[in-house]
Amino acid sequence: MTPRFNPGQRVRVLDKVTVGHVRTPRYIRGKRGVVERICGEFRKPEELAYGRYDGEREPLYRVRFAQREVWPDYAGAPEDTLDVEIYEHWLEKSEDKR
Amino acid sequence: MSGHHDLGGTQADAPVPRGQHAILPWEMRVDALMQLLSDPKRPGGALISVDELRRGIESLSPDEYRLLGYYERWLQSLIAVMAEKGVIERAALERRVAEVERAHEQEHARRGER
Repeated sequence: MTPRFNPGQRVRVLDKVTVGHVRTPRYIRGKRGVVERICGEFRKPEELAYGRYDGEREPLYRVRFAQREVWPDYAGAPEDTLDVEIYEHWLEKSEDKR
Repeated sequence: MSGHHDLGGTQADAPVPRGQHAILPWEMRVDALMQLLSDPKRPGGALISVDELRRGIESLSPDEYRLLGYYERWLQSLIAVMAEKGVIERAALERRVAEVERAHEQEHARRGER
């Protein structure tokens, strides 16, 4: 699968309501960050969680977020960041310069 | 909305202990059980994926999740997924646990520890 995003590109984590197992924690949903690297291709946790071991592989990205974007009341240095690994189907392009 | 296990960013009821603690022999056995069952090289292929283990853990009720320790949650999930796949039968497991408990009690009684 050709990755939809490249390092340096701005992305937004989808803010989806989910049932069952997912690997996208609640606190990062809806947040905007920058693709730091492509980690490789992996099968979807949502399918693996129900015993489907032969699903299609998709890109996994390491996305870098400003701590102030993740935690609105963050009191640390403004340059502090947080990296979270997120599957492609959880990301969309973000034009927003935040 | 998300599962009750998804605690990142929420307020803890009490300070989170940061110290290390010894890993008990039974905990290592639960870990080994997971390694063996999830090994794709085992005859017949893997019987469980890490994500299935997580799904089993996340399916615990909020009370169970809160009360059980880390490897207790793993064990409950391993039992649930193996029972779901027909690898083990829950009733047979419960019978065996009862046998072991009885044998343990008898052993204690014989040694006069009870």
